[in-house]
Amino acid sequence: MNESVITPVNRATIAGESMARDLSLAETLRVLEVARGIRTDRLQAELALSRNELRESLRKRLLDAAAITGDSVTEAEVDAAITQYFQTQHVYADPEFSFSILLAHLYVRRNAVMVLLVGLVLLYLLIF
Amino acid sequence: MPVSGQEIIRQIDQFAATLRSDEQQASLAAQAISAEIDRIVAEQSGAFRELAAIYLPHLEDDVVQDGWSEMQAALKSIQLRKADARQQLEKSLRDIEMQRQHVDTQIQQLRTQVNQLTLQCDQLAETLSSQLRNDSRFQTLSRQAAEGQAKLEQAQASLADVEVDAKQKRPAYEASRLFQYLHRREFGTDRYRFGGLIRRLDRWVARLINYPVAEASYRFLTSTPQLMRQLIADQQKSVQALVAEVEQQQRSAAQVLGLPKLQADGTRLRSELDRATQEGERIRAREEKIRHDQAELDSAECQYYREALTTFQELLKKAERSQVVSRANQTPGMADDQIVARLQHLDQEISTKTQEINRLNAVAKESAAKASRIHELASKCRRAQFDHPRRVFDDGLNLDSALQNLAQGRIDSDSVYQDLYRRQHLDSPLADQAAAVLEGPMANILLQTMAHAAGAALGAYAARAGQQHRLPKTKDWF
Repeated sequence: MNESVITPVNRATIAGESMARDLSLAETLRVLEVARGIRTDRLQAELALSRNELRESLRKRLLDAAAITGDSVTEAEVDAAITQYFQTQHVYADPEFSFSILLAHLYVRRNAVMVLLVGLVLLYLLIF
Repeated sequence: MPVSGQEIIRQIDQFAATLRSDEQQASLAAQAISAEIDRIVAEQSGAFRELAAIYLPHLEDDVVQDGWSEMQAALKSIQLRKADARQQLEKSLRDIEMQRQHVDTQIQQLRTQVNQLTLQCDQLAETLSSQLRNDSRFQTLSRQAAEGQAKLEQAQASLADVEVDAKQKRPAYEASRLFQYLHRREFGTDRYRFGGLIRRLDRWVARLINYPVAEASYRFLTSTPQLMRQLIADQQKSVQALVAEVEQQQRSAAQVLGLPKLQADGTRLRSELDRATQEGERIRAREEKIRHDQAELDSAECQYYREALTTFQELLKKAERSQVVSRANQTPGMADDQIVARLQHLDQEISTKTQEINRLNAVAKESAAKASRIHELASKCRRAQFDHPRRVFDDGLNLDSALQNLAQGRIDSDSVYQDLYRRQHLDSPLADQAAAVLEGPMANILLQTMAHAAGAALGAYAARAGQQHRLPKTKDWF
């Protein structure tokens, strides 16, 4: 008798199972992708929250590696290196200017370039 | 040499101004002397007060002995009022002392009770602490709460670092056209909708700027701080839950020991003690005030003595000076004789100054009267248009002498005016009669004719008779 009672939780579970059966392969993959993205973001956030622990771990590893290889690095030098690592992490800069970069810029602004060219042609036709 | 009418008016005005100036100078001098008299009167008042203080060195002194029996009744009244005030203060002091003693006893009792409760609470707190120290669950929860708090603080510090990083590093991504181009199109996600050549070219651009790595970093900088804040909020909640559980356990143990009831009793007693302490302070302030009033009443400069001195001072002021002198002579001391001598000197000075003021006021009044007569003449001359540009007066005119006589009241303004009127004429071949100026050249022709017809003896009358006809007014040819 009790098994036949439908609680709100049971209802949600049943609806979820029904929806999962109806999903196509592509939709399933997309949902999984979103879930993976959320999990990755959360992991990244958790990692960022334990930045001090990460810093300590890095410091220990670098000092151990230096001891094994026989490099005479001081703790201050290791600390400076770690600080620099965090400073340069996630930094972005456009590549140095080159012909390829020029072409890329013209490409991403192709609409504006086209309008300009059409304008120039019309102007030429009007004048000559 | 003939004098112009304008010059005549100017001389009259100047004479009047000189008289007005004399009047003002006399008034100013009178005011200065009046101020000087005020100063002397003030000095005199001070001298009377000194004299009163000599005859009445203290409130209980016998003024009749110095011959001032008139002062006895007023003095008696003041002394009675002082005695009454003293009695009232003594009664108030007795009442307030009783109140203070009552409140002090109450405060002492409350303090004892509060101290006893504090001791009991200390003992129970010791027992409670011992119980909780030996409770393994309490220990576990406390440790977990401490660890959670440590993590929370570390996480908050990390969040601050990441937020600073994001603020510094995000602008480079947002300023890059190539990165923003791909980011807007959601390149690399399943929401990217382009194909063919565009897709290939976009891939080429993505390779140029290493878009996947840059996008991951940008995503980290934009979304991670928010996620971190959520995680920190979760962490805070879990720490709060642990702390609440620890507190609940402590509260339950304290309840069993009866500590909350003791705390409630202590709080009630503490507030009663505070109220009693405030009441005690208020009573002490009142007591202090009464004692201060008592001390002032006993001092030589109490308000009743000052009142008696003022009354005596007024009595001395009103008394005949000869009476003051004779009573000063009767007393053996010299101090009152010296003050009376000073008063006599001040009286003399005031008398002299008053005479001087009266003289100056008379001078001012006379100058005003003279100036008024001169002004009256000036007004008449102006009404008769003596200041007309073409009006001239005979050179035989002695205006100074006439004005002096008018100012002194030896002659009246009408006489001077008539004299001036007779000596004036217009600087014109046809207009040599007074009426010509008033009525115009056409009238002058008529008046001249009338004067000629009347003959030499009656010519002037004929001219005046013509003037009274009020011919049409054309004061000049044009």
